[in-house]
Amino acid sequence: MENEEQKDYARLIAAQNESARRLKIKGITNTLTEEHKKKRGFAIASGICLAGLMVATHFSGIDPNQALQTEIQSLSSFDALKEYLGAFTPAMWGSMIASVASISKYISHKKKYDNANQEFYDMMDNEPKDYQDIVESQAKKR
Amino acid sequence: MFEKGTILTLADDNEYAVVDKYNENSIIYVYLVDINNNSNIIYGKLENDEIVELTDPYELEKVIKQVNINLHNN
Repeated sequence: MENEEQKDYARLIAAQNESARRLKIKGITNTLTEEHKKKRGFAIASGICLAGLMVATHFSGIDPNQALQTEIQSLSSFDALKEYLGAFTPAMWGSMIASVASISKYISHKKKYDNANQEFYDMMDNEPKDYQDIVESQAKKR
Repeated sequence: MFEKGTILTLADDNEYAVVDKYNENSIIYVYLVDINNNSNIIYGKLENDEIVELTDPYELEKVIKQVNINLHNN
């Protein structure tokens, strides 16, 4: 268990230290084949669902499985999404929940890390005289 | 340049659907989903002809919220 936590933490550090993806746009496709239209439909349905899940779990702390059920239910009323949502497999939902958890963990970790980093640099900026009171008080106790 | 629903091919050779795109304070934010691997997503901003993934946690949270509002209200 502890080992798993260490691995998890190592992954977060690695994600944080990775440079942000900076990707040049190589092509823009406006005229789509039927295959492309179908894939795009799945991507959009999945993207809308993931965005809803992200907000429900990260900001409101709702259980991911419960949030997923609510999201599917609410999006099922949209005709344009219905056919795609119905074709998602449990593995695809599972992978979506994993993505949401990973982004959420990254955000929480990065906030804590940036704060700790800032505190460290603030402390390093201090002059020895800033600690004079503490030193004197410690000295008096001896 | 491109609109919601367009498919972009990026430098990693993956094809992404533009699920959302909006402008805030002259910054164009995008939410992209890989059409061949839906768990590969990008919350990013457009800089010239590049998509730059967001890494600042506060900016990321702000964009996640806004994208969700845009998608669930349209």
